[in-house]
Amino acid sequence: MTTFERFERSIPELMTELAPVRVPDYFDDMLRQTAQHTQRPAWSYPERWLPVEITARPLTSRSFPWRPMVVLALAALVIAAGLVAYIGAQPKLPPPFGAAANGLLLYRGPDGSIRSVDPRNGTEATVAPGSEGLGVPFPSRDGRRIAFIPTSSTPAPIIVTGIDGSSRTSLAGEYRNVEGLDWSPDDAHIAFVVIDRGRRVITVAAADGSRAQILSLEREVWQTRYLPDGRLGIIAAEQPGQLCPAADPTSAPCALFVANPDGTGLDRLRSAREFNGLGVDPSPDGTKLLYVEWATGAEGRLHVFDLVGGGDHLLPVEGFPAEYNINRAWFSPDGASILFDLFEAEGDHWAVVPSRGGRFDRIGPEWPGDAPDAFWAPDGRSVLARYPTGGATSELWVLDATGSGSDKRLEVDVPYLPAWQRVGIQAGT
Amino acid sequence: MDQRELVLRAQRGDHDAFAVLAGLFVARLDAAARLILRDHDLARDAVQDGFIRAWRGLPSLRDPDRFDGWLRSLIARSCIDILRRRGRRPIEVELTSMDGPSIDDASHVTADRDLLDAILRRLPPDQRAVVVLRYYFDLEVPEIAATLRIPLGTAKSRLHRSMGVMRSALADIDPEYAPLAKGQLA
Repeated sequence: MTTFERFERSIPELMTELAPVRVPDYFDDMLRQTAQHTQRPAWSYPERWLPVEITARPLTSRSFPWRPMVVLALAALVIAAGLVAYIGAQPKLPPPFGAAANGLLLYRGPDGSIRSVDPRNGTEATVAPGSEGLGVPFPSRDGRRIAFIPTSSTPAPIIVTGIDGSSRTSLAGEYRNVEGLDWSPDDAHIAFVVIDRGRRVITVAAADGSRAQILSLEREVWQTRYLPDGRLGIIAAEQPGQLCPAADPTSAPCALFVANPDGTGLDRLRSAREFNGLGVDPSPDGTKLLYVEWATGAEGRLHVFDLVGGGDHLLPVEGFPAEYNINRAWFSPDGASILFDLFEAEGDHWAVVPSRGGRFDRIGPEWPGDAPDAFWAPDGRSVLARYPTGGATSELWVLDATGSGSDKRLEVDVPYLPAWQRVGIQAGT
Repeated sequence: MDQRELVLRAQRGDHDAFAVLAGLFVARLDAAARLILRDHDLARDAVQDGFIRAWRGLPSLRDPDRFDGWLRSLIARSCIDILRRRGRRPIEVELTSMDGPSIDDASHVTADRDLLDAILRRLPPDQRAVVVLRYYFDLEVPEIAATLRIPLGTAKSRLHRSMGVMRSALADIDPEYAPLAKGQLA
């Protein structure tokens, strides 16, 4: 047994010696303080981690206050008009993939209202009141529609509206605890993961509300993402009947697959022994899958799977510190760069590296707290990042990803990272 | 009256039931807070703040059987919040070699305890919380992530780095110990 192993085994006992267990002398005073506070009613809390049921009963449409959405649509058009020339100068990728113009930031406020933020100046607006009961907004790839992920405590439909609030549609079925919602390349379908009879499954629903299907993969799913060709990239249990739990897929028999959008043609790309990925992100040209490998001795490393040639390789990145971890990584909209989180001894940062590898650049401030979140702007030139700073406060930044260093903090406090609307893209051509 | 019934009563506003629940858990949570914060006064503030939040927010707990994990989460996050609000940096303690090897068991344990104390003080609060949850509460990484409401990978990273700090600290103390090879290449 090594010195470290001996020491590690003794840590629980040592901790008890460092901090003996005893009822603290402030206990009675603490109870007096708690008694002075009133309890918040249960209905005032957003529900989390709810057990999920799926019903197949489609719902009828309801009226919707579309006027605020008109304001949203007009603002988005103004923004798009100002950036059309920029889009035209970018490398061409099959629509709706590739860089787009930056639209508005969308999020659901704590009171249930749907809110927008103009990233150019931080101007906020309410686009739908909380009384409408809409969920978390998730814009389509072409930026013309919004899917709302339900947050209610009872099964509820996924609502889809036009960007102006028109054509409100309920997807077939009612759902709770929807995860990983992803629009298909043609925005005609939406794939998401839910729990069905105790097991995580992929549901694909037509965006027009006509039907929904649970994909029959005969195994538990951890994550799914649409590839540009319409197939699904899937992290799932390697064998039928096995589990790939959401808690920690890297310690379970989870493998990497692709499948047809109806669940047929399941093809294993990487076995559970070969694959210990925390997530998967397809390149916008459809030739690669990016994931973060987490294996003993190689914790948090960027890997790329070649969908064309079938090979897998560690992304060659220069300049990493001696000790570091990565957890999440995404291709930029044009596929030229990769955004990732860099955990290192001297302070954590978001970072960007060319998608072929090479030197990386740290972007934005050092993380001030736990679990910041970030994602690419539609134009691929910046990154939207939210840094929790303690309690319920946070900082929202638009970080420059091109190296000019012109980061901008938005003076708005949001409860989570907003979705960034893409504009100026034609879908399904 | 079992714990579940106490939780249900407390959710309906029975503060006496909440007081019984608090009595069941406060000692261990106070100890955990002292391990994370390494300061008695801060630990008191964190535990008091956490229990106030627990009392106020108890109606939001959907599963009464998850009360202890839910309470632990509140206290752990309260500890981290307090340190961030105070702008505390980990107390830098120089890990010098201890005074000679000792053949006395009690002396050896004392040295290990002091070493652990020094290591905990060296860790930033985020990592310290992860280490305490892992070794004091014997939680697995997914449970740690859920407790702190951080992504799984973040919890993995923080624990992994904490282990690295520990190994380095031990290497400073024990010249015969070979730490993990540095310079992991991308």
